[in-house]
Amino acid sequence: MSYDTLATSKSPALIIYLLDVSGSMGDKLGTKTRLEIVTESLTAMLRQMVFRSTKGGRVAPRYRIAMYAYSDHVYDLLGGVRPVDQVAQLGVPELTPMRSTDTALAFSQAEKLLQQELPNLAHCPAPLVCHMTDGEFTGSDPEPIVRRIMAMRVPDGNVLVENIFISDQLLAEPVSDVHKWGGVTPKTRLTNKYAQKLRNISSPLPQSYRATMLESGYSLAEDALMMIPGMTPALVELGFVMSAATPIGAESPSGGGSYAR
Amino acid sequence: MPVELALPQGCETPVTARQHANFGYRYAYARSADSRAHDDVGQDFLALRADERVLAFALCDGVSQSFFGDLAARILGEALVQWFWENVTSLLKSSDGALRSALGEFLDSLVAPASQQVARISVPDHLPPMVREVLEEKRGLGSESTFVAGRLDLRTNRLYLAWMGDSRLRLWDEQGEITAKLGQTFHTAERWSTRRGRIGNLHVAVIPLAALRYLIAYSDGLARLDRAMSRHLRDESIQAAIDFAGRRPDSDDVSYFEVWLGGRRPPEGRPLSAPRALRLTTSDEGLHLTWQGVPQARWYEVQLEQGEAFEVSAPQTSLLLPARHAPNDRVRVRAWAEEVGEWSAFLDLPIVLPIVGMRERDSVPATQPPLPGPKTAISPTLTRHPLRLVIASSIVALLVIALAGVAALSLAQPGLLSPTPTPMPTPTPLPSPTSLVSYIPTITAAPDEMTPTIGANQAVPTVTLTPLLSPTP
Repeated sequence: MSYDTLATSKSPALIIYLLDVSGSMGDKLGTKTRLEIVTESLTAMLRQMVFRSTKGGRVAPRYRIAMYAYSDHVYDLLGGVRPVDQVAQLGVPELTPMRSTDTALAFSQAEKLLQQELPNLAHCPAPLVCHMTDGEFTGSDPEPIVRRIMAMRVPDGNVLVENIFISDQLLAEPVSDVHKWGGVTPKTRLTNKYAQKLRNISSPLPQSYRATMLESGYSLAEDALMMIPGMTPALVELGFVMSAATPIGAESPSGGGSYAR
Repeated sequence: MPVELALPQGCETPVTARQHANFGYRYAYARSADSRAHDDVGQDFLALRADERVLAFALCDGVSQSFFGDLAARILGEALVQWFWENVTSLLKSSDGALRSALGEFLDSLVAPASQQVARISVPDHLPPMVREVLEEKRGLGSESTFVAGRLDLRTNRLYLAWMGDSRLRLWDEQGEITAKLGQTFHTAERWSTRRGRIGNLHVAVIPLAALRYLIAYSDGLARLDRAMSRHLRDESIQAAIDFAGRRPDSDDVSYFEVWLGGRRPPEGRPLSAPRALRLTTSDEGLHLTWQGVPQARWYEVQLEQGEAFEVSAPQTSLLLPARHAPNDRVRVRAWAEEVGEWSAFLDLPIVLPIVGMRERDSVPATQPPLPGPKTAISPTLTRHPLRLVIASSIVALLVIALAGVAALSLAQPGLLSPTPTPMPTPTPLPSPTSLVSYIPTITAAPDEMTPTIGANQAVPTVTLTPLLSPTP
């Protein structure tokens, strides 16, 4: 239960994205729509994965990605689970806002996929479900499904669930510098009830993920949770970067791995 | 004539030793499993130059997330060997500080020519735009490498060492390991960059040879030696450690270098005996391998001939094998103390394994009570033959039935056995990599009809995207 299994070509990390494309995702957050910000953040996340997976001129398939958009239906954006080198070829999908927010349906799809995948992940890092939304669910309560997902496990640890909640007002105090921000902890005062609910169904940030985040210049606290209040584009990007912070294999980085910044 | 050696980065070099009159050395090189599978070059680099009185060496470990880390490793390694062979002579009787200062300046002076080499590397045109962008970003940051380098000089009776990063450098005198004298100076973040020169501190040491018996350097791909090795090991043990590392999922490039003083090798241990009585048993959990323990074993290496290798800590003597393995695969075991033991004989795996669900592959203690559920002992000599017998019998029976049926039909309808043209099935082409483009999705639902579609780039026709899940009423 240490979340220190390395993501390698032979033991890739599975990451499932659940992206809310309800109508409100067309609203502005600053100068851009929420979906535009999500698309840019997904691109940054994918670039980070490619950066971390590239050895010489080849992208090693250290990540396997599934991406679902949901509204009142769930849509498979990548046509199944795809390795990062293929997703890098495909690019990030363009998203257009639709209608409602059936969050439970999206998590049901993630649960179904995990049930299929888990038997083959005994030597891989614990999978991660990264859920991005901007508002309360319109269907049934997703919490029971999320709890079931969080109870699923591989030897590396339980399945991780991350929530990125895009909204203007979530924290009592604004985050002035995202790189100095300590993250949402169990004690952080959240001004929105749904944010509190999402926090309850967010995994604690594993120390191995935190180490990667610190290496990337962030300052998340030891007791930070995998819950990001997407109040600014920089915070949304932080959320997606966190989803790709699985420790990577040494086939990679000798000498430690990433650039010394 | 001095020996000049630079191990090729594109292939493996097994443990190779050479003995001179007053010192000896050995070296090895192996690429990561992933690099071997794709025939990529390794990103470690090992070079040396030696005559009967002097040996200069450099072991470099390119940072793979940097821009072609193999490049920095090679540039740096070649330059360091040259410097320690030729340019260090004026410093042979000076202090650590003078060595640090001179080498530091030299490392910084490499930046300009190395940057030019980095600039000349072309990024392949066929790569996707995002990968090209990432590579160009990496080019801007430079190529990086850690290093351990030095000069063993019998004329001055001193050993000159320099290092940056977490490549290992370990020293022994006649009494035991003295690596602690080098301090906590092996830091992951320290390395040399083609763009920035030294990143972090350059560490150096000048050590009288009277205080040295042998020196070992290796890259972090052999990190398991950190705890597994407390002295000089046999060639077979070093090679076995390299081979084992190469079968692990986190396999990394490996380079190994060792030099010892004197006209013969340091004392070596004896191999442990081979594990015996290998046995396979099945249970609800899967297929268990057990064997008889070997005295003094610290751990056992279980190797699938066509797949991975597993580590089982002694005194455990069993392992739950992976649910999936290659057809006709075999398994064998050997014990490890510090030195590697002899292999057991191979044991054939059953052709079909029971389908099992999610479970850990952790080893099962030999002392634990028997597992619940039905268990069938499989004798090593019978793992395949019964199944083959069943299959063969079934085929024969089916043939007999089919022939009898055909004969009966031909009697009833004589024309039935005359040759008739059989339509050939048209193969369905598998999607080529480029066809993946058609999956690039763009949700373009018209707001009024709310029927989502999935499209691609402008050139790709939009197709209807069927929802995977719909809300329950």
